[in-house]
Amino acid sequence: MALLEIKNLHAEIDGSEILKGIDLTVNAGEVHAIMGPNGSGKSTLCHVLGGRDGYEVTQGTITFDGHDLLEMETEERAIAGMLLGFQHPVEIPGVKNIYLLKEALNAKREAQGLEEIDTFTFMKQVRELVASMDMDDAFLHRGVNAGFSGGEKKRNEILQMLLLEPKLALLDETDSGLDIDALKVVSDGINRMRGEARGIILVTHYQRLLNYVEPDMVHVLYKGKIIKSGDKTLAHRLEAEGYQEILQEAS
Amino acid sequence: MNRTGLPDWLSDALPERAAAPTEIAEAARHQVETIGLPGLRDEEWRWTNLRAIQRGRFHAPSGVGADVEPSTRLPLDNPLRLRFVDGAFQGVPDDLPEGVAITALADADEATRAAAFSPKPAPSVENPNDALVTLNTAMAREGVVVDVAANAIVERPIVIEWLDGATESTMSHPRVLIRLGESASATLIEHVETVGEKPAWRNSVIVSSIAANAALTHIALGLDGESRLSTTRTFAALERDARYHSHNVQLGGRMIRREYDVHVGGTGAHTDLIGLMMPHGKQLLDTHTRITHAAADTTSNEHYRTIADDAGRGVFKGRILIEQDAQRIEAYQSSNNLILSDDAEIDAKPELEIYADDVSCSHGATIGRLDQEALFYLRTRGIALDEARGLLIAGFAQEVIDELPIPALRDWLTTRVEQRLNDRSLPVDSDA
Amino acid sequence: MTETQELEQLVKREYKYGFTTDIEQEIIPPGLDEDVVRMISAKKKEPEFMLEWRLSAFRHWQTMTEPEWAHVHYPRIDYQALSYYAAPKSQEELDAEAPESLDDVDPKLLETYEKLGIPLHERAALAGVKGANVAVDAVFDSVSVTTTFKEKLAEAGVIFCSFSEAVENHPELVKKYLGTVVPQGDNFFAALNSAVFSDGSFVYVPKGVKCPMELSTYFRINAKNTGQFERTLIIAEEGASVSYLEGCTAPQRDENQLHAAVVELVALDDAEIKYSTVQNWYPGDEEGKGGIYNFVTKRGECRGDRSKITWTQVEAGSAITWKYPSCVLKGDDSVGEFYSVAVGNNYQQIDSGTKMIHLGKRTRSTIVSKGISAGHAENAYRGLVHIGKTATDARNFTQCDSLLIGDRCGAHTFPYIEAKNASAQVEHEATTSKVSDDQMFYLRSRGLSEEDAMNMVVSGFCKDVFNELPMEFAVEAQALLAVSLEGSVG
Repeated sequence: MALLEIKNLHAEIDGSEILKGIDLTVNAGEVHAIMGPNGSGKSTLCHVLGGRDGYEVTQGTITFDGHDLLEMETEERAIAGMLLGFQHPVEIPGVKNIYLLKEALNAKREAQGLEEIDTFTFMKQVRELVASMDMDDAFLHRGVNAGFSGGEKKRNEILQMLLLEPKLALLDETDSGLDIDALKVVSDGINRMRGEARGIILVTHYQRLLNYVEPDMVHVLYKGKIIKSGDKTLAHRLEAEGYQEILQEAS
Repeated sequence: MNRTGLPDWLSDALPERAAAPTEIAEAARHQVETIGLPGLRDEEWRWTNLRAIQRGRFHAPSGVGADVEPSTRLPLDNPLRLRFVDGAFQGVPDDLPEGVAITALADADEATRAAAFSPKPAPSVENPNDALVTLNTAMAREGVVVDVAANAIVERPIVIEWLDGATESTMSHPRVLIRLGESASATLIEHVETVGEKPAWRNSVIVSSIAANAALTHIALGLDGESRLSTTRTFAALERDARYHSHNVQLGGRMIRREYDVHVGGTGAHTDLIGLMMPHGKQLLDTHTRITHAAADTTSNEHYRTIADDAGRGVFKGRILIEQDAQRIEAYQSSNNLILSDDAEIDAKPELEIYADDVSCSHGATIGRLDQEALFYLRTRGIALDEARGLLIAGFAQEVIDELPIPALRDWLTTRVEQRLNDRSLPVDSDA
Repeated sequence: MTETQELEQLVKREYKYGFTTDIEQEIIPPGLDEDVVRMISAKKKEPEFMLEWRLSAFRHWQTMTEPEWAHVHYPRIDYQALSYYAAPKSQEELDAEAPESLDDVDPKLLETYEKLGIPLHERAALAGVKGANVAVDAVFDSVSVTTTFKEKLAEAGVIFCSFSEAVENHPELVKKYLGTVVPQGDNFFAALNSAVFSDGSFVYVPKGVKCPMELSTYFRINAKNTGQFERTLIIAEEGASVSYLEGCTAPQRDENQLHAAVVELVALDDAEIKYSTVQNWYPGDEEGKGGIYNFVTKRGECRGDRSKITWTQVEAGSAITWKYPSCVLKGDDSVGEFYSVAVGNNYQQIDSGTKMIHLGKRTRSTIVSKGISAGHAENAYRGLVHIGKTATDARNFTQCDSLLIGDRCGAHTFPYIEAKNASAQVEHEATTSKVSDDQMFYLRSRGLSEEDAMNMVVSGFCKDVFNELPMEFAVEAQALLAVSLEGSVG
């Protein structure tokens, strides 16, 4: 059974159709990259998968790990094992990072019938992860994303992914705006997550990320449809030739 | 609650016939006689008392003044002048630009007069805070009606000259109505001057209605004049996509109370309220503003600055009211104040009253001395302390002046404010 | 969410402290005249000076009118329909002989306090996590019932007792300080309180003493149709310091009940008083029926140089709240602080804030106010910052934020700023916004339920204030906030 199966997905915002029939299957153990120019529907796809209000799915189905995803609330999706990494993580002043991490982890554990994690184990685990992301412990006690630089916000998204160990990580332009050092740290985090039981979707604007995280499949999204899919060489072609060539070929 | 009764001389002066339609005038007259003038116990008047007016024994002007001229000439390009001497309208000019119609209030038809006396939001006749508007309604005989036709873009500024104090102890209660048709645009300038040395009191009301997509710029320039007392109220009602830009500069007067009521009633409408008050001597300069966001997707921006010197007092109260269901509102307000002398006083009350949830509103108020670090910086660059202080004070005022839309007026005012600051006899506070 | 679930949530949202205690009470008949004032004074066996003080307050009150300026609406209160004194019956005996131990206290009362979760028994207190260092005075309706930890405090020289005991045992202190911060005729409700107050807490911390434990009072209104008028007086002598906590609950009743307390704080040179309140009077039901009218006058005077008074409040209960804990900064270099979270749901109305009156040189004040409105609640911040002519180099910073949950509530900010000194530095900032959809979505995408996500955002919004609360109160406040807002999302 596929981990994620999207069939003929149509979605609109305020009555204008953005996604116009997307088909995509992601199996456990695979890394997929979705690329496309600005306005092609990348972020809309992420938001629809995350269950954000304001997006109306008019046709199609999404099955996630055997569940009908469209019937699930945002938090149910998260608890079921989907993690959405935001392009622009929101700032939540006053709410400590460490607090959010613990709540999120316990919400998941509760759904799995596990007890709340004990503080000692939790702190140990978090500290290790923080160090692995080349971040400072002090960051745990700051407000969620409050006053973070762009790079810090993205590292924070990866840190959450490492802690929550989702079945499917959906990373929306996690690489945008990162300098090369941060990109390496983020890529390293993503690579650590690769594994038999897990699917990863990288939504990106730049081929650069794919030099560090090698995808199994690359899809080109354009005007709300996946117009071409292929292996990693497709990404290299995109880099070398630009979208124009591929678009022409597809049409 | 304690009311300040109407002084006899004022009660005796209530006219049998006023310019307002009979029913409106009579209701107002009745209310004025019951409520009297506001007192310090009335919430809107806790910082400003009307004693100078109550004790003043003012009388209606005797009709002189045709030859009175303002002493200040504003640097304006071919302005259209509407002159009031001690509240008496001096007549409609003959060279009206296309799309502009002007009528003396007394000559206006009943419907127009009703419009002049029915502002939005309607003042509450029962509320003592609104007693002075009601008094104007009961008393007004003089006034003017300006109509700007739809799509007319009026380049010539329309200047109302309030020349007060031509004869001794006069009071006046003029009423102005200005109406802009759809997509019209116009600039209204109030040029306020005291022409005599005798105390005079003007209690005027301007009612403006701004139709869809029209824009009114309203500049009030209160120039020097130690004896002037004025209590004024401006109403602006905005329809869809309309704009109202207000610039309120007050440099003089013994007791000046200006109130603005802006009713942002149409989607997409916007208002700016910008103000500068510089009380010195024993002046009291007071501005109260109220912006009502009554429609969704409207915005407002308010920025007031006060510099209080000598024993001058500056009072600012700004209320932003967001009605229920007026969603997606952005409203910003700031009040920044400088006190230059230990006898000066600043009172500020920035208010938010919000009944809708999808809003983004903020206000800030500061009262402070000059930035000590900036002073230090200037001095390390070789500028003498007094001069450095002068620069910073002027700079503080300049930020408001810079928002004036007429460049020549901006430069003129800059010079005027600089002169005023140069003339200061006392050193600025005792710091550094 | 389905309609049934919504209904369930509404039903679930009940007032945890809404029980009444069935004990025999002595209530004097409704009505107020000089005889009632005399009767109260006589019942408390007060010395002559107290009676005179009450009577002069009563005469002043009769000349006053109820204030109307606050942003609150309620039907006129018939002051003659209220009873001005209610005491548990056993009080007669208690008066005769103040309880030596808890065994002397009516067990039903103790049960009440147990239900409230107050560590009244010293043993219970010791068993509590942080409660070990909390001395508790419990005021039931109008009368102080028992004060724990008396001996330990006495060793340090700290007097912590009911107001009645203070009048009896320390009349000179009462005489010296009563009404010096909030004069009898200060306002309508303060005058009423001065005439009829029945009990409250009294704290005296002598020179140089740091009070060895947190002091705490729990107020509880139980009787029907009674007003509660307690009076608290805290004095910190030179170099003394004390932290005082106050908690309030009331049973669920359909009719409104009046609570008009007065709190006076006096801090002399280098003294420090921290006064924390978690106010959870019954707020009325979801239709706005019933609930407490909480009209309270709280004021502290930094009388000495370098003294400091901090007010921290979490206002979650009451149908109407009308209170402005204030600081009069008389001493040079004195400091006033006000940290407040006021949360209103359903039909609650709140008009609260503070006054910072700067008179001394280099006086400083900080105001942090967080208002949360949900349902049909109206929540107004009203504050005054006054910099007097003598207050050279005074400073104030005010941050005043409002959070809106739902589109039928109101959030208002009415700050008054007055400065009469050229060296004054005053900064006021205020914002109003709603919980953003972005924040909610982000948290929900991390697996949090809507309710939990809302609680998290709201707690974050209030964090600056919760940080100022003593630990055990902060936990209680957080929980209270969640309960207060239950059913406000979705």
